[in-house]
This record gives sequence, C-alpha cells and structure tokens, in this order.
Amino acid sequence: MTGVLTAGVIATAPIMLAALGGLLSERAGVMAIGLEGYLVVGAFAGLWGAHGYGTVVGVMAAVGAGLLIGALVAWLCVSLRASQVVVGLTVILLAAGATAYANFTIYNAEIVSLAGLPDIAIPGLSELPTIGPALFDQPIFWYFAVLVGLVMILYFRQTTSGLALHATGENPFAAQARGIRVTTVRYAAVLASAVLASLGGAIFTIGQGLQFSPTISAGRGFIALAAIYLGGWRVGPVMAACLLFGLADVAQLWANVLGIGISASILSTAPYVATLVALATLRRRGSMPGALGVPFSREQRAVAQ
Amino acid sequence: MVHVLTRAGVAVGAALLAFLIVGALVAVGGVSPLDGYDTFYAGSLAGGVSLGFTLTAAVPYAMAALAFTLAFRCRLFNIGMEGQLLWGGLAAALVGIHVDAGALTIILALLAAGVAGGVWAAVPILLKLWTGASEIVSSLFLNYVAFYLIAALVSDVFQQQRSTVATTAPVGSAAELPVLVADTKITIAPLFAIAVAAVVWLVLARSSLGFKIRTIGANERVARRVGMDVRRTMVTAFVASGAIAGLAGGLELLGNQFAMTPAFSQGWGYTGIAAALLGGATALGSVVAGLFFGILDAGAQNLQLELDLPSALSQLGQALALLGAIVAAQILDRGASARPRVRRDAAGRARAREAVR
Repeated sequence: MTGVLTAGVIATAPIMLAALGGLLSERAGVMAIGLEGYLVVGAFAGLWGAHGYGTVVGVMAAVGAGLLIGALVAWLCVSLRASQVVVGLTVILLAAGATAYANFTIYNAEIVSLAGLPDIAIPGLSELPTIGPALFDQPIFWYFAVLVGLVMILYFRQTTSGLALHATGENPFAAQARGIRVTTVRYAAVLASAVLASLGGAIFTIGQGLQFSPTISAGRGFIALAAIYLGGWRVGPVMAACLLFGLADVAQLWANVLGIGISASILSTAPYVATLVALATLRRRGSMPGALGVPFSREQRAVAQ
Repeated sequence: MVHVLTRAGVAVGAALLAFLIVGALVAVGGVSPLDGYDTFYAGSLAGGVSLGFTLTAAVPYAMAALAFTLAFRCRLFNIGMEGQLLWGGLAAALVGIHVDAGALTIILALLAAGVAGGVWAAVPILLKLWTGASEIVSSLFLNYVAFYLIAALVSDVFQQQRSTVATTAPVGSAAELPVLVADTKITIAPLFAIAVAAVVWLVLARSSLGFKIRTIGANERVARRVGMDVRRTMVTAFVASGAIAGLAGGLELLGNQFAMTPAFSQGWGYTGIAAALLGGATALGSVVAGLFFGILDAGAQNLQLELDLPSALSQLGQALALLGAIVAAQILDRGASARPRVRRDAAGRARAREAVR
C-alpha cells in the first residue's frame, strides 16, 4: 500500500508542476494547451545538461529551454494574437519533432539515462504510518512542486501582482483601464508557465532517471490540463486533482495491490472521465477566467462575447 | 480578410521555407543537403513504389484535415479527431474480420468506421450544447478515453488468438482496399479522399447546410437573428466531421495496416489539424497540405533508411511549415486591419480633388 502511494506521489510531481504552470497562464487568459510540449522539451534539455555537465546544469538547461519555448508561445499568442489552441497544438508538434531530431543527432542509438535523485526524509513527519513515507520521504522534486503550489496560493491571495494577473485573465480591458500592462503580465505568465512545466518534464529524466523518448510524457501535459479544469482554476483544488491523477497514473500497481481484475488501461481513463463528468455537471465554470482564450489588443475596445 | 491567393502563397512559402530548414538540418547531420534532397525525392515522388508510400501516408492527413475543416468553418474545434479515427479503425477492423459480403464488405466496413467516428464526436458537441462545456477540452480528453479503451479492447476482448502482442486478427481479403496500380501501395484510398474533398467543398460552398455553417462561423448571433437553427447545424457539422475522421481510420486500416493495434494512429488526429490550418481550412487546401505532409513522411522515411537520418525530420518540417503559416497569416491580417477601412473609389477621389480646388 505504502509502496503504491509512494509511486503515485512520485508520478504526481511532474503533473503538478505542469498544472501549476498552466494555471498561471490560464489565469492570465492564455490557454495552456501546449503543456505537453513544454514537458517534452524540459525532459530533453534536462537530460542533455545533466548528462554532460551535472544535475545543476541540467536544471538550468530545462529552465532555459522553457524560457525559449515560452517566449515563442507568448510572441505568437500575445503579440501576434494567433489562436491559442492552434499555437498550443503547433508547439506540441514542434517539441516532439525538435527533441526527436536532437536526441537522434546528439545521442544517435546510444541509450542515455541518469541515476535519478535520492530521497530526502523529513524528520518526524516521515515516520507517520502509511502516508508518512509517501509524502515526506521523497526526492527533492516532490517538495519543490508542493512549495511552488504553496507560494502560488500566497501569490494569488496576498500580492498585487497576483491580483493584476487575475484581473488580466478576467477582463483585460478593465485591467488596462486600471493601469495594468496586460501584454507584459501575459508574457510573464506564459514564460513562467513554460519554465515550471519544463522543470516538470526534467523530473522524468533527471529526477526519475527515465530514458528519453519524444513520447516520454505520455499525455501527462493533457492530464495536467484536465487537473486545471477539474480543480476549477484554483491552486489548492488543482493540486488535489493532480495528486488524484498521479495516484491513478500508477493504476497497474493499484490493480495488483487491490487484486482488481480490471485492466490498467481502463483505470487510465479515470482522470479524463472524471474531468468530463465534472465539466458537464459541476456548475463551477464561474471560476473559469472570463477572458480565457481571448487575445488582447489595446486598440480594440469591446470584448467579443 | 486577406485575399485567398495571398493565403495560398503564404502556405506554399511556409512549406518551402520549412523544406529549406529541414535541408539545413540534414547538413547539420553531416550529410550533403543535395544528397539529402535526392534521397528524399527518391523515397517520396520518384516512381510508382515511392508514390505509393506518399499517397498512403497522405490519405489520413488529408481526411483528418477535411474533417477538421468542416467543423472549423462552423467555428467549432474538433480536437477529438484522434479518438474518432481510432474508433473508425476498430470498427472497420471488426467488420472486416467478421463480415464477408463480397464487394459490399468494404462499403460496410467504411460505413461502420464513419458511424463510429460520428458517434464518438456526438459526445463533445452534445455536452457543449447541453451543459456549455467547451468542445475543445472535452473532445481532447475523449481522445485519451478512446485510446485507453481501445487498448483494453484490443488486448483483452478482440485479441488475435495465439498472438503475443496486442492486435486484432487481420481483416479478410474481401475487406482489403483494391490496389489500383499493380506492385505498388496505391489503393483506391486516395480517390476516396478526393471524393470526400469534393463533397466537403460542395456542401460548404453550394448547399444550404454549408451556407448555415459558414454564417454561424462568421457570426453566430447574426445566424440566430435570421432564424437559422444554430444548434442543429452545429451538431450536424461536428458529427459529420467526426464521421470523416472515422473514415480516415477506416481507410488506413483497410488500405494499409489491415489489423487494429493500440499503436494504430501516428497522431493523424492532431497533425491533421496542422494540415487543415496550413491549407487555410478549405477542402482543396486540406488535400494539398495532406499531400505535402505525406511527401514529407515518405521522404523522411527514406532519409532514415538510406542515410541514417531521423525520420522525425518529417514532424519537424510539418511543425515549421505550420509555424511559418501562422506567423505570416497573423502579420498579414494585422497589415490588413491597419489599412483604412473605407477606400475611396475613383469618383470619391475626384470629388476630393474638387473640394481641395
């Protein structure tokens, strides 16, 4: 049982970082369809840096890659006002193609993987029964993901910058009238989201020591997107949804432990079905950012609604 | 709106630019770009065999692009084509395995594929109309539901007996698409895709349904004001889009793979969107862009075989072409909207001159 929980929590970390990043972008009004692409880019950049020059450089490479791809997305979505759905899908395609090409060119057929990061036990808490080891005796990236979430809760509740970001996503025209630089805020939010999700991708290669392939994230970017929708664009519930989906990610282990005869594939549909049911039934769309997906231009006054 | 010819020029320009960048990347890989293009040409366009590879690769792209176009013109995003295509493949496989009705088999199998895709597409559009849930996210999530369900079905229920990998049995020979040119992979699938393109063009440009679709796509409120049945038109457009995506899966299964596996789709449901947008969301554009993507696929396969270059070059080329087209289209649109709205005609200019005098 504890083993399954531990594996589930490890699987949660990349999803949570991607979802928290995506949340920043969506709360600023820019849809985060491209999370899957950020994860893949971060996974490869992290592996490349860490394999050649050590873990720290790997993390820096993931941040750099995130900034690059985030800048591209921000330019297309914010400056050029291209369709955010289209840009997101293009970025996923671009990320898969570019990393596959780079992987082939740099490593050819050589199989490269890293050792993964060691666990850090938090004294006291890690001795709690069952959940102690699962939550408090984990690699550092898990604590980082939770810390990012906690900081984001404070950011949205306690800072004017957080309020400005929220206002930008709700109604960019009102925000501009209030003196908020909508374009700047959206650029910053998209860049931050790409960096966080890219770090989430680096967890696969640096943190878990997986071998790179362009399908390494296996749809977890979309799981993260589902978590944002299920969590109603609020940090706490989104983190909870990520944990739920992370536990569902190790469905095969659950099936073994609980002795369920259902195939793991069917259990894997659970996060998506849950989100669809939530989207259709819960009247929580009130918390969806009002201007999500609406490009902003200063010259244009009325919001098309 | 920018002129259609300008748009077409932009798409072709973007494709050529992508082609040049990929050539440069080939050079980075240590191969002379001329050798690269030569190998690329040999694998994609030189002779019947390579043309067969190109056309086989192009059909799912073109069909998915047509499917996306139909819904997109009604301002609906069908991001769920990947799932619809998978169900289409499974349905065609099941009919092809269990039914032998002579020449009718293929028609029945394709019919099943279309129905399967359409039914799966009905879910997100009905969710949108009944509950307001965006079809963009719900159809996207349904792709994964379809993928995992089909993986389970193929490995647990329809698994071929005594097979160690997850696959259904191959379809019977009556269900295989007839080959048009002997000793090549050229089947009737490309002709079928062209026929679908013609139908999509006719519906969009010449039918009352198409008029409704385009009006809703241009301005939903106006469509409602003039008394169009917006909801029914949306359902029709989206379900038809799903049916075409399902047909894409059916054609691929009956013409190329012959058995259903969890790894059936190469992501055509997503790249088809890229092809549709590169083709300017028109029927003709979808076919041309689909063909371009097919050439890229077949050529890149040969690059990997002959010169040991990554076949991911194809994906990269597709992404770069789309990227170029997006950037160019946005910049052109901006230029267009920056120009003065009301252009003076000749008479107006004459009056203005009078006034100055």
